[in-house]
Amino acid sequence: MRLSWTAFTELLRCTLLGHLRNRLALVLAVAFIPVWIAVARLCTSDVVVRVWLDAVSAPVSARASQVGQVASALGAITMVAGFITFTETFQSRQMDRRLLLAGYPRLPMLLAKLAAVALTASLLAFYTTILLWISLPVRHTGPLALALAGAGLAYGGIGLLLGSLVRGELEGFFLIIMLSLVDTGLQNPVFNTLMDVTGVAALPLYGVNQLALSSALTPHVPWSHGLLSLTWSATTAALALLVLHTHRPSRSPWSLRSRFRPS
Amino acid sequence: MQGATTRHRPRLSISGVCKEYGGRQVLRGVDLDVPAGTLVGVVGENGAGKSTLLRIAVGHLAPDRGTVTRTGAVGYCPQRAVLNDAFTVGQHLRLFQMAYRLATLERAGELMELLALTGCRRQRVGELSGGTRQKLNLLIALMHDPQLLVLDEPYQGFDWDTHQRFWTLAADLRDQGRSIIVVSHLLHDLHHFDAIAQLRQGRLHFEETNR
Repeated sequence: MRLSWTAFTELLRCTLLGHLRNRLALVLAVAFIPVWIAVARLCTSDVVVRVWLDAVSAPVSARASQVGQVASALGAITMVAGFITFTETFQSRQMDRRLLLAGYPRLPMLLAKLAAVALTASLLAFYTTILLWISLPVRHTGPLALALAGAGLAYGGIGLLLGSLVRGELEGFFLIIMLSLVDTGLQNPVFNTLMDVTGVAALPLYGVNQLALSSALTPHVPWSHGLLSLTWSATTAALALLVLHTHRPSRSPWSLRSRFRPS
Repeated sequence: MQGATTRHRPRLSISGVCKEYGGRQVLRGVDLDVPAGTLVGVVGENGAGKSTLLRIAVGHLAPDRGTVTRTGAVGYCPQRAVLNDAFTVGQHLRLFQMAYRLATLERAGELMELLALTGCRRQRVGELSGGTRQKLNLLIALMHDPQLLVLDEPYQGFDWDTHQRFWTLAADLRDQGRSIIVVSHLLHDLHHFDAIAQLRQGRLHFEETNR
């Protein structure tokens, strides 16, 4: 039990410190999110638009720039969370395999990877919520933060999955960027005012988009849509864990199990 | 090793191993026994299948046919350094300490001194030179003092002094009863081996040495 806990905390600590040493990821997290929100604020008109929100089953009137900022924040957080998680998973997969073959406990390793995704998504959501709170008159800050965390978790899970599956780094980046662009593009009510494209509800960001827009711009908080996003996060994370589990060796051929005492 | 000493039960026994890649038969019934206290060299042309044989020997790769039996702990040094660029040298040691269930990092510390790695503990692996990465790659294979060592060109990028120290270490470990297989391309290294197994057309051909 003690070994499992130490193996979990040590790998989680190393992974998070590794994120902090990833300068490109840090620059993206610190600079890209506010820049992308600012672009939406500056480049979208202040005209009031009526957008249909499934979550409240009614049209909502809001300034296009405000809707655009929430949609941009979701797009930015998905790309940053997906990029960070994909890079980490892709770059560590050979070493993870070597560690497992050497006898590293499997479950703590998988849980440490999930915990790193969850912490990264939470931190990004916290930062993005502050930025939106400064830039917008946000109605419900807590649910908005949860929606942003849900978006980070869903794309973090996708990053984990692709990091274990694709052969080249470029393929992974391309897939994450394309999926995020399609997803946020179709969910953006400024572009798609009726939200009537078939299958839009099946996209990863549907639930969090409804929760984020409702929390930021209306008096309603559609928790059920938040749960929908959690289903997406849980599904991608479960799939990623399944791939991580099956792609890595099942047992150590050379472990020395009897000699370990944590120092 | 076949044709060499048979005083101990082999630590590694490979029998009738075959492996095919994309329709090309790389290994065609390879047999190899490596007893305790033996240093075996595996040589052969590029693409002859040396690394494939070693990966099968340590269990990284499953053979199409044949059996592999290992006894005791194994240390494997892959040809290309398998490390995490985002982690420091110290973090690698700590993670593998847990993987190998080692009480202390005393042996790793000794090896760091021997391989002139002591000043690098806090450095990120992505910032290390190719030779220093290879030293860490080798150290991870040795730090749990395994009975069987499988080393795939472990000294790539080493300076001459470290290269010489590696062979002194390999000889010491052999004299302590460890079984060691080393893939080598260098003619001037061949005199270090107790026996040389040349991989040609998917089969091993054994040569005795003067040792």
